[in-house]
Amino acid sequence: MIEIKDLSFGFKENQRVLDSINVSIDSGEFVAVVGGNGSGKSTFVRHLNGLLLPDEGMVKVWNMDTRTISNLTAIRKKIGMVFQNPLTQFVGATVEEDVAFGLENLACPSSLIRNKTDYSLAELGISHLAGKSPLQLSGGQMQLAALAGVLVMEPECVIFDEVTSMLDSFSKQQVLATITRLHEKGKTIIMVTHNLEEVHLAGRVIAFEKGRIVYDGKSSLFFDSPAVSNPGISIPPLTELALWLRENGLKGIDVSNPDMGRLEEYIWQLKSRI
Amino acid sequence: MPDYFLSFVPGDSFLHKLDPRTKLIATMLISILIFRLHITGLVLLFALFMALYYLSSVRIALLRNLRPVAPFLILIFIFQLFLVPGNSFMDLYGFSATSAGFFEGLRIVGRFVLLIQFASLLTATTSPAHMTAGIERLLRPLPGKVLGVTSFEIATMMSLSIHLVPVLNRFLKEVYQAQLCRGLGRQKKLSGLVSLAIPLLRGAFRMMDDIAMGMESRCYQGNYRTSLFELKMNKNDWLVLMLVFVLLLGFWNLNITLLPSYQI
Amino acid sequence: MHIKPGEIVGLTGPVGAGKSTVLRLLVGLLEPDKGTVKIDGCSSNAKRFREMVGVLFQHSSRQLFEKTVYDDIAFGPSNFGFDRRDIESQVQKAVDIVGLDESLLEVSPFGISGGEQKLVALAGIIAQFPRYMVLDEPFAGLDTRGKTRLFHIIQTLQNKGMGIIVISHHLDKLLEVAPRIIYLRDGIICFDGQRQQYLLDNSLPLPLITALMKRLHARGLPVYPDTFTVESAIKQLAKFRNRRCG
Repeated sequence: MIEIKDLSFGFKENQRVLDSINVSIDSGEFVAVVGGNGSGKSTFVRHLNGLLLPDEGMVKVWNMDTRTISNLTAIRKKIGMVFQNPLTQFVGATVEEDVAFGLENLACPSSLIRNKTDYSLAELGISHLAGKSPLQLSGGQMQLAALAGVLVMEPECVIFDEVTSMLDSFSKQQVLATITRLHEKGKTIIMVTHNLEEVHLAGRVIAFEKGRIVYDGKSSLFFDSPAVSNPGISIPPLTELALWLRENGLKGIDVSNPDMGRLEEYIWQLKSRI
Repeated sequence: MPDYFLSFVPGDSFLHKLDPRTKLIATMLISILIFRLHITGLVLLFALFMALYYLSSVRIALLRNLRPVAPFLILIFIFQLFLVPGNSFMDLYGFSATSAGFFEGLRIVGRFVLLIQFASLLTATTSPAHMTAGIERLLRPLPGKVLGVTSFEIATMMSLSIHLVPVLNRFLKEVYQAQLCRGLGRQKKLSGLVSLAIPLLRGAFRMMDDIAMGMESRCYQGNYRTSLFELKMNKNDWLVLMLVFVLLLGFWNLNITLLPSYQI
Repeated sequence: MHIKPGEIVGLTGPVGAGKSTVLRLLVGLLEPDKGTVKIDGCSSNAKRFREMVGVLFQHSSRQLFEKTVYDDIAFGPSNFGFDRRDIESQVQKAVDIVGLDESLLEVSPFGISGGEQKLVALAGIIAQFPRYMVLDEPFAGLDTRGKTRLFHIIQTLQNKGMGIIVISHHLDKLLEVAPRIIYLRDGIICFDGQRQQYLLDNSLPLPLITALMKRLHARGLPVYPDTFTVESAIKQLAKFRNRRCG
């Protein structure tokens, strides 16, 4: 579905933000893209829907090359994107106007826009926000509204670019639950995050460091890879504990998503064996 | 009551339900008429305004709308009162107030007051989204290729600016507070103003970059696009437009026939 | 609530609890409806009030406004009317404390990375040498390196006798840096005390590690229920392993 060959990119000359990236992503996958500040992960996903175009190499989405300008609208219809800062992705004065924006661009008739907008808002459980100004919303509500504006175009793949980084823990859970639900419904999900507690939601992890891919594989094996020793990556506390326990003889624990009850049981057994 | 000058008041009245194009054209025609008329005509138009005002069921603060322009209106009135030649009825420091000046001042001030009130009635009963949709449709016949900008782009620019003013306002407040905390206004006043403008511009540009990216990824191309709000002229719209035309033609020469004495 | 110089206080609570209102009261951007905010005996309407508190806002990039990093750090002290040489030495001291790369001083503060911007903003406040400092969500957007550096800076400032208030909802990081915790909910102080007491209070939100250690403690395992760092948890658990081996 998404084919990337030898992609290199730099904002300035002699500086490579991305260096010979080779990746392919299949339909229906849930990929977490991780890495420290400035590792190139955001630059990478912006190539996927043609917001940035490769200096070298190529990006193909459903066999459409992003460098062919006439393909861009079709590509962006298939790949939607939600950004980090909820406030600067709004273009409408109210939520429903904003949600309608994409369909207006595709020149849908008014009645169809109205139906789809209402449906999209209802699906995310935010119909009551339709007439509100984005300034009246909480961070979590804003991200859901922004997502509604992407889903209304019925994309096959949604990219989330650090969407939870400005949210409190409650909204974070709400947004993550929505993302998981979308994946279950068959959408391809690409989620950029620096919070490694979120990677277990994805089946696959791609880790960036200095513009190169340092890990690309199953999320359950990510914490076993040398990539986690990179300075930009911070291991969640429970994972760190689980890793230590495993080093000391615990078998079969899921280090990418350690369950507190299971950790407790294991430590208890460890104790009673003394 | 609206928070700002010329802001929208949600409602369900006859005026709210009119097509924005009808309201825009009607307001334009009435404005033309206002500049044709003299005092009697203006009084009649004011009566029309009051009727529409009650019909709209929005309670806009009529006097408060005038507050921002009040000093200018007073100044204009005083200028007219003293500078128009005619029969003097009062002398002040060698300047004489004339009755002709009095009526002339009243006429000019009356025009401005009426213009503002009709405009505020338009904005109070038309949401910004409908307004931009209406303007877009009215501008569509313009040759976009020749002008270098299409009606769709103009409409998008308008709705973006409507949306962005409060966002920028919030941003400005944040920057200002940060500067206050670092001793702004304790020593050098002017440099403070300059250093407020620079981050605001920077912030605005960066915000624009982000917004442009969001728009692009939602397939924005600047060419033909539709709107969530369907515009439809119904019977009432045509009726209102017809009435306004009749009004325009009927009142066109009103002052000359009714009250020629005020002509100077 | 009282905050002493040389103290590090962590302020936390759910969204809308009033954390940012407290911040604005502390720096004199808001006036209290009732009651008073006093700093070293100075009430909030006094002119000196704002001089005494420095604040690092959450979006620290919006705190930067000058053409070069140096000018930006010097903005505060020059507003407070120091002469040129004093300003220079104060900027230098601030740069040393945050450990900013000297080569950055001549570039624009808008062209550097987010983590560096945070450090510049912090240096700008330190250059004013306020008595107290409020840091609003300083951990947001920092990776592990940045966090370690920030902890180090906070310690340095405390040693200089500065009172520091850290506002954050990253509980584990807050507990690591602040010995005293204040928990706000719906505009009311629910807890104000030492971090050990905070960790023992079951009605308050806890870091995951603490929750785990508490469960183990409740089952009779000899671990400290007020553990909050992974290192300390591992150290305690390592004892069992050693005992088993030996």
